[in-house]
Amino acid sequence: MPEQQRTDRLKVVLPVAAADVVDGLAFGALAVSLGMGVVAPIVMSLLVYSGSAQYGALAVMSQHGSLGAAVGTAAALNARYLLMGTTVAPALGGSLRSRIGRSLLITDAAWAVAHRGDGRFDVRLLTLCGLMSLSGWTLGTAAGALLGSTVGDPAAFGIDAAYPVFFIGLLREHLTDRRAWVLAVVGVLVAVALTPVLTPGIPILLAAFCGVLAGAVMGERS
Amino acid sequence: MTDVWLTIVLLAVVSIGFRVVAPLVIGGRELPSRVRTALLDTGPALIAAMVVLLLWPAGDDVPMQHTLTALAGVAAGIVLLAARRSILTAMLVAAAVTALLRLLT
Repeated sequence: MPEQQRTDRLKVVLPVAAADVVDGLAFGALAVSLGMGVVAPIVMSLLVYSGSAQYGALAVMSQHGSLGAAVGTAAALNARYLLMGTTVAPALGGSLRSRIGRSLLITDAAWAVAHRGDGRFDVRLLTLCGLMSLSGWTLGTAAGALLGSTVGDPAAFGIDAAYPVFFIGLLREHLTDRRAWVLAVVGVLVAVALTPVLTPGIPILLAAFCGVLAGAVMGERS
Repeated sequence: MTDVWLTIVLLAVVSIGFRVVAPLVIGGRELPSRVRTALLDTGPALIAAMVVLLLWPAGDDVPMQHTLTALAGVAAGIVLLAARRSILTAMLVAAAVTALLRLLT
């Protein structure tokens, strides 16, 4: 791989991994404060590897919600991975082990970074971003769980502003024609309308579904 | 097994299942063109919806100051992205603006 290409990939992936470390710190500290102990949050981050689902489950558990409610919330939040896995699947050839290994690394950021906009995916970038995010998220969780309340407020670093900008930056690369703009506007409108009333995660899925409908109305791609 | 560990195991099964099922079934094969077009149309809508979700306050107890400072940082990031600056630069500036405003307010 040319040096420039490697540098470009790292430039995209490193801030995501750094944000995951900070986000993991917050998750680990919160989980310990809710009585999960030190080991359980770390194992959770390694195996579940989904901030939204883990925070969702933690919120349910902290309210003494049922096991079914915690798992149902996580399922609603993670259902988008089914869709992402389907879009990536044609690019994931190779052995069974390789397909499973790479698909386990699918996250919002890894999927969006690897998406080339014309239905193709950069599987190497997906793998790199997924591995670095998993490392950052798990190590951050471990540090947060060990340091507990001494971590302070991670919001002070402004990471919650950096993450949306990351996705807006990726969206910028996709907005190359009128069709893409219309689909993005549809996504925004559906998410704004449904986020206040539905379980987080479901509006994203419905936004994608409405994108398909809008695409069908606009007809074949040129 | 305690509830915590059972929750972790079930969450892991759900998360892993959603991630691997399609690559296992489809893995490496081309999809029919109609399906491919439909999936292609999900991309911009999905990413745009993620942005909205990330900007949405996580609960009623999130202070307005927290949301406004984040929006100010995001606005600074959008200006840089519109000026064709790199995603990394825009992210760093967004975080710095938000952090600075939170320090000052």
